[in-house]
Amino acid sequence: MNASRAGVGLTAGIGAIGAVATFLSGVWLSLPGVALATTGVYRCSRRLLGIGVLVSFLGVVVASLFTAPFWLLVPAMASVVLTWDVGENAITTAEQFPGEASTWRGEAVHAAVSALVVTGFAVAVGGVYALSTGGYSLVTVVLLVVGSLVVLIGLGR
Amino acid sequence: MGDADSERRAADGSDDASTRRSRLVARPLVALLAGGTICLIGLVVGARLLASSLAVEVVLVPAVGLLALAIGLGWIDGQFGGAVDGTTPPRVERPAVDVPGTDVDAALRTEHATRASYAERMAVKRRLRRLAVAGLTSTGLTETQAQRRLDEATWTDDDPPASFFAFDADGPGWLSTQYRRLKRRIRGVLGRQSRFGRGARHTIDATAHRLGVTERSWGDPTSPADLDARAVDQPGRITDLTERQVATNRFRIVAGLVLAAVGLGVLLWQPTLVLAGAVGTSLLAHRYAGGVPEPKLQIERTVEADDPDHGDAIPVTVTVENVGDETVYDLRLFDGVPPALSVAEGSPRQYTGLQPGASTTISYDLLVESGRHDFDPVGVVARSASGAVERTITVDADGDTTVTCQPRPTPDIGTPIRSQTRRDIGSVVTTTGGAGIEFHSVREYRSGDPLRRIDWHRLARDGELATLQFAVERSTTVVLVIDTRREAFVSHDRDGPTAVDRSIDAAASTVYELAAGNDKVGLATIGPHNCWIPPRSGRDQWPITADALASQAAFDYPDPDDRFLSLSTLHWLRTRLPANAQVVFFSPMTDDMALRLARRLQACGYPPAVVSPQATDTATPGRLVAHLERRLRLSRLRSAGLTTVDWRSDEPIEAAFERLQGRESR
Repeated sequence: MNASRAGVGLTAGIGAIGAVATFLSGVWLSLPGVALATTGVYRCSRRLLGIGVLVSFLGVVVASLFTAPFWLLVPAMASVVLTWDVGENAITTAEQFPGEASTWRGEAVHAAVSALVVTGFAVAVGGVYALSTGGYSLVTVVLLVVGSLVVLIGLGR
Repeated sequence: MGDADSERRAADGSDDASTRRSRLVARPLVALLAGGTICLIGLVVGARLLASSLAVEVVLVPAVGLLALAIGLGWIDGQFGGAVDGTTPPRVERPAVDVPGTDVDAALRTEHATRASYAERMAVKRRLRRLAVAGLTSTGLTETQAQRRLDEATWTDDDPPASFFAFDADGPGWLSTQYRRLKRRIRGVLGRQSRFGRGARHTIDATAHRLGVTERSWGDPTSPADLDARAVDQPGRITDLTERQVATNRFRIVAGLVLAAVGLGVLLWQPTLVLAGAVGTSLLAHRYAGGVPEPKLQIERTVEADDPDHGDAIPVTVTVENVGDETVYDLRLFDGVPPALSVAEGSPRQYTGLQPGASTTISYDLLVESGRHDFDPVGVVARSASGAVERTITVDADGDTTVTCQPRPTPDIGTPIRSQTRRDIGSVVTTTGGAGIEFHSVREYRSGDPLRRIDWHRLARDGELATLQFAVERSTTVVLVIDTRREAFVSHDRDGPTAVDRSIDAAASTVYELAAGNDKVGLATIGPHNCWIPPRSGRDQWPITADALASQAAFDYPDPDDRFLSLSTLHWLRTRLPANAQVVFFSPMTDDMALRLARRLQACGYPPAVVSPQATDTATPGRLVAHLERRLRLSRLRSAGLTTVDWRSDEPIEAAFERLQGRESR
């Protein structure tokens, strides 16, 4: 059982955007991450896809330590989560539609909708970042993190 | 009362569904409100209150960062390598054929991978014990002696099988459970096989050897590699799908990455990482963007075949239209292929998205077998745009819902009937000499013998008058009884015809052959649905039978809620069978009930000739078990005085009939 060409191609393409973004920051770690994720999708292995996504994420973390600019980190992180989303959907699709079933349309619609949502949110985050003036205390950070935790736990993972 | 109950259950079901729906909507709202409030407090108030607190800088901030990181890593670990929740559609492309013995293979496979349940292991052990006892009794031991040898582990000289049936000292207590668990883990680390799995394989091998099945495909008990990989790949039906609504939990890793990014950003003093991590929250919020999908679909199916022949590939087209007001972003469609048929080309599945009013088409070719075949409803799995919430439903299709294929008889196949006859002239060649076609003997001339039967050659040679005798042909009444229980829809080849398919084809040819003569032939089924065609002779009997085989529900693959009641079915049949009827029973004999049915027919005064389409092979340990069990059943029938024939899958029915008649004449 192998994933469709559309699924493999979309995963590789979306992952490559993030890899290029971190590579421009001087970090190459995301490149093997994308390769692993793509291989994971091709072989229908969620474990391998997860490892690839995790390696790509480490690339983003390392890039942030190298003081990568915000406009590179945001697309890199967006690419990481989208790689999982599109790749996992391709694997599920391969499991549910073996053989000659037509799946490209569904996979393309899924990827397009997810990419639209994540891109819109990234632009909004970028806007907030651009408009922020700084000067907030650490309590602000703490409360923001706690608030995020409440939101994430409330959303039920 | 029943209606009231069903209404109450329906009301409860709708309450449950609405409660789940409201929870799915309410929880994220509460979470967003609470989290947003806390963030707002942080932005507006926090800046002025504790701006310079050292405790916050040194303790609170790193602690919160660590907490976020720990929770994030936990969520990542929770998803890592694990499958997401959701519907696994059945493999509708293949016939819903059971291969006898795959349950044993599945248990051994589970045992090899992890650990089979106690019930599974005991079920395998019981079956192997019965076989081992049969093997021992075949060597002259009594059953009590055989049982004792098994208990004392002296039934064979080889160690793994010898001790397999010995008393297991491991009780179900907590300590022994923990001990076994520890042993299993160590075994897994060392790559060792389980004692039960190894013992079972060696026992199957030893029993097969003792029962004389030496030529077999599987024969290496030391390696667990031959377990049937397809045991877990069971085909199924759309009617097996559970209508439900679930969260797929496919974003656990995304939530984990977001928290890990935020935690690391706080710990490493990288605010850009915190904000970049927040991007991932968009997918989590997106989970609920599409709400819970409620697809409203209109489906029409077209089957382009008027009168298909057995083996034809007929085109099927299914058109699905979104008649609701909302876009369905993620729609997974599975046509309900008739369970006894297989897809020749194309796919009955499609993954698409549909705007209101839009439609899509599924096209595939269906390989037709004889009989009537009903389509199942179309399975629909609709996911929210993010794929996080999934709803599974089934939708009945308009248009064609049935495919029928008239059986085509094979001429000149011979017949499975015995020389038990009536006075009328028919096709059964008796041992009585007289008028007929086949030469029987020569006797002295008697006054009144017809001139055309005088042996003129002898008169010319010896001058003696003699009369030629021919085998007298008499008619008989035959009732063909087909086993159509769910247990009879089996085959050793998943893509091959089932035992019921082969029985129907053989019965059709037999009716065609016999009805063309002066014999009376009828047809009956033993299954959840009854079919009875009274024995008649003459050309009219064939079209009646062919129509019944192509249209009656008795020959369909049984539905899950169809029940077979053996006693009432046998009573029903007995009240219809004519007193002097010969019964030919078609059954694969892959379960004990089939054996009991044949014996009960015998007890009722209708000793059947059993024609058993082969449905087992020796490719894996489990299949070998089923093969041995079937051989034993056929052997028991022969011991009970019934004529049986094992109709191999690679031979035509006439060869089986020839062997059957050969056995009857002995």
